[in-house]
Amino acid sequence: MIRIEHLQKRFGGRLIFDDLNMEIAPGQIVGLYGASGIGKSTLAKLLCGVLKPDSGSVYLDDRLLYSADTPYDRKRGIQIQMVYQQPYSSLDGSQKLGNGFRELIRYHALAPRREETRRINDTLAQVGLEPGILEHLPHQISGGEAQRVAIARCLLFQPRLLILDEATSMLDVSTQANVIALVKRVMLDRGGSVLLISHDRELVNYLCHQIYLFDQFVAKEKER
Amino acid sequence: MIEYFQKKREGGTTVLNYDSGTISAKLEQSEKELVSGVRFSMEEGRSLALIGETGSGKTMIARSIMGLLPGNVQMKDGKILFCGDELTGRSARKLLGDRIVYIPQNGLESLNPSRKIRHHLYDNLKKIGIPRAELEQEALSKLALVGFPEPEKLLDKYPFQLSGGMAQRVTIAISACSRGALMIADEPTNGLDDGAKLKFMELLQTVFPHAAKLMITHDITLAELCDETLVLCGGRMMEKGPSSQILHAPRNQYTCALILSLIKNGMRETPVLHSETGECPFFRRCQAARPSCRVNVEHHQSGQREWWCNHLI
Repeated sequence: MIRIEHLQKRFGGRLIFDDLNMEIAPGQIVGLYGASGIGKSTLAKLLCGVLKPDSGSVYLDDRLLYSADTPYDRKRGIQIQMVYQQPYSSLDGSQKLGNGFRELIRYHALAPRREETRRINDTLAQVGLEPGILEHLPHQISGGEAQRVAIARCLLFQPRLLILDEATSMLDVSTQANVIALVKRVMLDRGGSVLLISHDRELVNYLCHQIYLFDQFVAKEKER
Repeated sequence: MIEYFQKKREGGTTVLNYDSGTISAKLEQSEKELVSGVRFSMEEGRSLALIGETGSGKTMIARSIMGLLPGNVQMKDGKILFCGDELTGRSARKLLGDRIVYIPQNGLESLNPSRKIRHHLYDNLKKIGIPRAELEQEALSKLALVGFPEPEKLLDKYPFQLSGGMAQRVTIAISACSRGALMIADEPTNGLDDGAKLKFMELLQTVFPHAAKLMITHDITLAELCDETLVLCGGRMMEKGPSSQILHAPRNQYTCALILSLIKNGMRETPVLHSETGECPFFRRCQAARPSCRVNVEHHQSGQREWWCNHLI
């Protein structure tokens, strides 16, 4: 589904990764493991079109999504969504959660106005949240709920790839288990994939079908 | 309540006797109970882990001990005895950094970015009465104690020049500039692997051999390294006793659920099963919930262990 070929990224003179090659197949959880500051999140931002590669290409379903010479195909790139480490970072602290959802739907024209509420409620049901949460501000919900809301916002786009960038590292053990079970249910069961970025070796080893170790500017596939 | 404290005081080495009473937050139109009926005591040199999910009241308990509850949060009918003396918010704040030391979750964020490490250490050393002429020597010895091989190179650095791990050790060195009888650490090992957690605990033991150590954590592997564990859910006590017993043979359904959600146990989910709430804070998600859990929770005691659950294992 996603194929990364010969990707290179530098920040100024500093090489982050070079000749990076990866493949993410449908229905799989792919783990990206490595020490802090080694470039895992940079790769995630590249896949979402937030950063531009210096060379190399990214393909989605064998069609070019992005390369050093071609701009990011935002129409198709929307199928790649990311959940961040800090559950509250993707939520506007001054806006009720319901308004945040409606803003996303309108900006990306995901549904006509009369269907907004149904679309939002369906998505919330997928992540096990009640519609009443839409009346809350981000600081009025727990970290686990905020992470579910962040996942629900991604699900509005019916993503093919969900990137979890240390998305469970701030959560307690039972919330982590609940969020992981939720991601498996909403992504893998309908043929989507997950890129799990983590420095938690135990979590990556337990969950992932395929693991890449980030080290010395390259990602090496680890034998399972 | 008084009997409870007196009994503990006779032991002679009790550092902290804690009774939360009710800790509640005033909201716009209502009042929300955050912690209720949490009682424990801590002895010199012993460690206690407070574990539970986010929102279980762990941090509020720690803040109530340090006299740092947020403005809209109040403690009612509670009593905290520190080395036999009753703590109020003001008296606790006076003891902070001296007799009560705090190790934060994020070392880097807790340091003042505009001040050198030297001045962070000096502030605390002055507070405990170290003469000006001895400040540098004392600061160097504290940095050496937490494992910096060349502490003199560190004194004139700013916090942004340190890695996360170094900053964490610097905060421990700053805490060591005290006469700490009680050490409180809030999620100190977030993001560390098991080996690093063990080293961290060994370091705490080296730096604070005689202090009572209160570890606020959601990390069960860290709790295993502590002498005792207190499991909290929704601000109530679920289970209390020696870590080795609680974490390997839990008696409470909530403790069981926490342990089953560990990766090594298959990350078992605890979904919401009941729409209504019960007297037991875990009622809505408990697979073994009974109708009686809606109205009361039984208290059990066996040796040093205490647990609150209607389901007998």
